[in-house]
Amino acid sequence: MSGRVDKELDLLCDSPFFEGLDPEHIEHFARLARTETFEAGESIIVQGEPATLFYVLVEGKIELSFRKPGNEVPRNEEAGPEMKGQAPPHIVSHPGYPVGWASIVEPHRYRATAVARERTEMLVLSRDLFEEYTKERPGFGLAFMRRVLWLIGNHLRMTRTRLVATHYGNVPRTVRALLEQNATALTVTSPLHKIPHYLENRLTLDDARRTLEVLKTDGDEVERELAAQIADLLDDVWQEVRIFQQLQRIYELVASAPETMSPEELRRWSCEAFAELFKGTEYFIRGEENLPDEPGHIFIMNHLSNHLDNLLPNDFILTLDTHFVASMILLKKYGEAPVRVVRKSDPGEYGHQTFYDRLGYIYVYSGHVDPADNDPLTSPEQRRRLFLDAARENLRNGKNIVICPEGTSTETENSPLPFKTGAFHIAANVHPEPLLVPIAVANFDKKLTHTRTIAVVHEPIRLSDHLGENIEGRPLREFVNGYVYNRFQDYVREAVRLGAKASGGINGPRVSR
Amino acid sequence: MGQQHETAAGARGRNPTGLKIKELTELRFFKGVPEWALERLAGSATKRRLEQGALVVQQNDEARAVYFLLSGAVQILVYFEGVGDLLMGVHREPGSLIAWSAFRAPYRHTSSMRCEEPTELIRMPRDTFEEIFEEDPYLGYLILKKVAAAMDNRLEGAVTFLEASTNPGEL
Repeated sequence: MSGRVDKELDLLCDSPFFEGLDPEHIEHFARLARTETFEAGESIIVQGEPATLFYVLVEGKIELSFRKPGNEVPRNEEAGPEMKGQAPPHIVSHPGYPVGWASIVEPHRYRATAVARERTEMLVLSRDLFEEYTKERPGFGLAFMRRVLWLIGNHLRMTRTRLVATHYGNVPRTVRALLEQNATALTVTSPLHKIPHYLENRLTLDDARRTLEVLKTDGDEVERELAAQIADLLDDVWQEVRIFQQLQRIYELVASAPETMSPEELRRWSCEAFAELFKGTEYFIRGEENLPDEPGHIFIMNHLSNHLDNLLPNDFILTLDTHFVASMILLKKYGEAPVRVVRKSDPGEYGHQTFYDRLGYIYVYSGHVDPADNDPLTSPEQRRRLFLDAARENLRNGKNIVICPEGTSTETENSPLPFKTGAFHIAANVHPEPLLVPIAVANFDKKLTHTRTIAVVHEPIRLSDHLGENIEGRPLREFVNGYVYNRFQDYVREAVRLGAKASGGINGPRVSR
Repeated sequence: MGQQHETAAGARGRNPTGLKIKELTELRFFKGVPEWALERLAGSATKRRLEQGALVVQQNDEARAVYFLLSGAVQILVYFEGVGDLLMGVHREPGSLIAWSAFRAPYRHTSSMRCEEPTELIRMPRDTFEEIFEEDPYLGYLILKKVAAAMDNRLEGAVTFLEASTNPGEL
């Protein structure tokens, strides 16, 4: 047998659908099958169209849905994976998955639409091959049709489970429902029973993934099929797991870095790791032409709260918007990571403190005064001076500084909140005068797997152009919360609109400028 | 639930005399099935009359027989933990195959069937079909193709239900 046929035979033998069929019959079809490659976005079968071909997934990822191509509904945070007015798609990536069983069953019209989500290779068998072979070998036809019944029954069960998920569900409940629907066939000792429990907590999501991976290859027939179905059901969850694990790694990278490593090196490491994380998400950056040619400026941005899914086990959340600006815009443009101004950790926020202490960021102090704090400067005035001195020094050394003037964070819909004037005081007290570069961000408070994040760089502000020498007290406050704040409100609304124009949907372009 | 349904001990309302072949040939499902097979099926078939609310089969019970609807209406109910019985559709078309789990391993009913109104059904034991399949596998292939079409029809109903439920305006 040729290598090609060997490969196809292996695929068919490992496919749960062909399980139990005589190897002689499987070999026959492995010889007759041809392979076809579909590019991302290309339709494999279309709902309602005449069904003559039966496919088996070799490699890649497909989206099965009950809609015709072109009738796309972009995903958004509010709708989530279970979109209103649209039955949620089913993502399939396990090799051996059969597509197009309607080619075998009257009235021979495809029941669903399958679209390649990435470059996908399929094995193709025409209905005629099955029918002709059945005439010669009726025993095969009977056994084959039993597998078709098994397959349709699985689809029916999956559709019902998704119905429950749509109505009532979170993911663990959906999986529970699926297991329950298969209770009569599943052994009581099956590791699949652990999956809903693993799915309850993001710290054990990866255990669920590993268990399913093992069962997909080593489980019994029922376990293999169910593990594959559940894994496909959890496609979005795996993306979230990947992001969460990347955040964990970034934290560990910084918190456990060698003592000898400088804050500057660590900032760069951290930014590069964040850039890797963001590359796997859908984002949009605009206005990079507004960035000053040389570093040494203040970047002011609205600050968005974090999705609780990103909460690390030590109760620390890595802010995504500021790290996005630092890693995807400033590191790229200037070749070095900026210094950020961050809130001094509250007592007990050891995760926060461990992380930021290592990065050499500039602290601003919130309301509390920690008596055990080793910082000898305890009066608000002294702390303010320390902050201004540190910022000045960095700017004079040609470092960029990122500041969120709100002093707190909020959701995209409520952003921006009123600004504090600290960033502008710095600008007014450094010579040569740094520019204030506004960057508006949106959607970083959503799940990264369900949104398109936005960052828009706007034309820099030179404070002296607006206020001359009159930069202290009331005129500065009025300027910041009048002119600057009003503009920022428009900037953020524009960013929100850009996020809503995620017409590329889940398959859309990752980035454009 | 305390309602009438088939148990492993056998169906209630059994007609021990079987059916006439003609009664089967009137059902679309049996078109093209040779007489010897029809005779065998008719001989083992029983007709059942059930009252409104009676259970025809119960989810997860062993599927020892298949059922065809002669008249009336049968609800398809699927039980989900924490949710209860969900109505997935109603069979009303006379002659339709309404319970096919006896054709599919692991031979357990995947849903419950409850009579929405007084209903008449034909019950056929799985064993008779299996004997026929063994004698003539090609006929078995053709019969299972019809079963597949009936299941496909059920799937279509479930998909429609799913689509409608994700688009409340269409409910």
